[in-house]
Amino acid sequence: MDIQAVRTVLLEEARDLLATYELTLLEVEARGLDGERINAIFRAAHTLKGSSGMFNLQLVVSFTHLLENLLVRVRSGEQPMDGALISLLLRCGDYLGRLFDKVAEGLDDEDPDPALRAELCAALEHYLGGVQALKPLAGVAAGTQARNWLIGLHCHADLFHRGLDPLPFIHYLIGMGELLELALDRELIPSLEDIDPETCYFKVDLLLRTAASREELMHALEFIQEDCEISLEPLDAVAAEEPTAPAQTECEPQAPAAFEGGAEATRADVTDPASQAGRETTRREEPTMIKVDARKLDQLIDSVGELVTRSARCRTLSQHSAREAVETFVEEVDGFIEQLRDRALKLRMAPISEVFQRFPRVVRDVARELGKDVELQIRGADTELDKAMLDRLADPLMHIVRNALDHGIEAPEARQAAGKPARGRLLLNAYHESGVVVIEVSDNGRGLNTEKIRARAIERGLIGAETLLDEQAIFALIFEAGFSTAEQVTDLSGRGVGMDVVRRGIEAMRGSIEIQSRAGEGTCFRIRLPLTLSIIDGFQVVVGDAHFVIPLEQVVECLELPRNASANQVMSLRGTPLSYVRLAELFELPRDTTARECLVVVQHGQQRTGIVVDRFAGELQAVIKPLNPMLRNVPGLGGSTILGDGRVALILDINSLLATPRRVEHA
Amino acid sequence: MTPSDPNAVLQLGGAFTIERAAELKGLLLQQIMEARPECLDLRGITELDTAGLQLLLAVKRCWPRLRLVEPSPAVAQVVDLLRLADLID
Repeated sequence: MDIQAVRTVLLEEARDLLATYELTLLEVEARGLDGERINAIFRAAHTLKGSSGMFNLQLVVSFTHLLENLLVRVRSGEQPMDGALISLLLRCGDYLGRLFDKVAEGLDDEDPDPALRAELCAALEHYLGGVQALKPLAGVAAGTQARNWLIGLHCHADLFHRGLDPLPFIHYLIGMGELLELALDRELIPSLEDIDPETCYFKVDLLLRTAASREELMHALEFIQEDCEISLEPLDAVAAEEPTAPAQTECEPQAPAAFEGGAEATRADVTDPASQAGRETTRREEPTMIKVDARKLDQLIDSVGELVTRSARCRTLSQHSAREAVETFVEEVDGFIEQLRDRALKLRMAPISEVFQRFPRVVRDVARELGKDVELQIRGADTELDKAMLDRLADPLMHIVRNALDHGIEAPEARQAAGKPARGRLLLNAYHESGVVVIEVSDNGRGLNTEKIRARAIERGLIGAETLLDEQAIFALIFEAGFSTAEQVTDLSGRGVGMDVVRRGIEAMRGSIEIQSRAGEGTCFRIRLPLTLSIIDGFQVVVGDAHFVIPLEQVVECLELPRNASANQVMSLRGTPLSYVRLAELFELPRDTTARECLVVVQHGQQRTGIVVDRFAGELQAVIKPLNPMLRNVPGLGGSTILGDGRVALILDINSLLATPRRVEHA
Repeated sequence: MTPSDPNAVLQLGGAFTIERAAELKGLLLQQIMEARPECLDLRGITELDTAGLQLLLAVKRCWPRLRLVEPSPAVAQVVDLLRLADLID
């Protein structure tokens, strides 16, 4: 594995760790500090330091070192965690993110913001300097239930190379009780001439009087237990002298009997079964992940695509040879290919939590900035969709969320005046629904003001003053370019990039967005996305010699163009007016004049439109290929695909195809 | 400074940490061999980790009569933690 690949893994890991770090800090803020959370935060900082050390990222190492020192003290209970400290730790995380951005650019030694770094370091050091000498850990006072433990710690020679230092752990251990004795084995340290300065020769034995159980002690050493030989021996003889000795069973109710054997337990293995069982439980909850290079996945999906194409060709051939055996065989092959396709696509799927997880922080910061009190709820975070779409979803979603915080949720006073709880609620929700992924951003704010939207749209010339629009059509106006109803331009969502960018972003993924809103009750933005961008189920149509594919999910029905179709391209479909367009006219193609015109009714957003073609050629699975560069700028085309007979068909992007005729007509 | 000057003091300073351990080993060896100091002044040490401590212990092991004096707070903290009071004169 080349160094660049390893660096890529490091960077990915760093981003994951920073996300966990941030999320856990926010949890601490919302729900309070507990052992698990502080350990998760500590582990993130600690691992960052370790892996950065391996790549000699000095700027990261020295910064995380300070951070880690402070977290050790929080973990031991010496330093209380309060709002100010959480804010500082969050900012430290942001700064680390920027450091890693530099690393990603290959600028390992460039500080993105020296002034910020100096400020943060000073703040961290202030906390560190402010902590007085060691205090016993709260709740684990060396009281009557205490017993004496002989703890041996022999570090592996390569401990430093893993970015570790045993001193903070010793410090933490000592904080759990009363240190009776400590002996560092100096004999192991060679003389200056012979010492390898980067080898760890550290071996220490300590006698600690503590009420902590074996598990708690092991927990204290959790992060170096893989890089040390650790022994833990209760000195029962000493404990037995205590008048309250029976209480010792309470100290470690889960400790296995085998380790109670005093003299026999000369060296309790690091993999204490009790704590191991504990670890496995936590592990089992997490899915096993394998990091795979996205290019490899693309290659796999490409070959699956080729297979789909060949299979279609095979089917075409078998129809001509008309032999039943071949047909059955082809059907079987088709079944397997479909299965293979689905499985290969699943490899590209990632949980939407990757996007959702950045929102607790956004909501916290934006709400503070706006002086609003907002609770964020997240549901369906494990809903999966194509990784490529996740990346493209982040920006539109961010915009909607900011918009909801800015315009949707009212200030606490306004909410109370309206008889609502002062604290607003924002819900991010994701779920699968018949082959599409639905993502909702809903708030319980003031709702969209149809009158205001309408007035603004008229003012902006988007609609005529007399235009009659139903509620949905009015809501849809906020997605028009240049629309903004913000009475006061805040620096959050009134920046000119409006909701039209959101709509375009979603539609570029062949998705759609709709709004539900009730005045005074709230608004829900509902995004629908296909599961993947690589293969679609399509409906093939023909105009003259040209073949087109319409995404099947948008096809509502197919019929012959009725004779009652009027010249101004509106017809009546079962009593409802339906506008239609001729594909031949849109693309200026020669028609097959012998063919009787057919109509495909497609759904786009809330509207239906008819598309007139020469004939239908049936359903197919289309592997989406990029367009020929000459066609890239033609509106209405979303890609190309190769048909079973080897010919190329163009995939229609219905939303952009109909964007022009769909424009709201002035009255 | 003559090689056996009884008042020779070598001032140590900066971060005695793993990041600089290799460099520090070289410097210490060179300086001690050249200057033959009687004691090492630890006042200037701003940070001390296990790697740095190992170097100080390695110095003591090589030259048991060399005195370590004036521990800075960073040094004192580690010395207290590991009960190494006898390391300091």
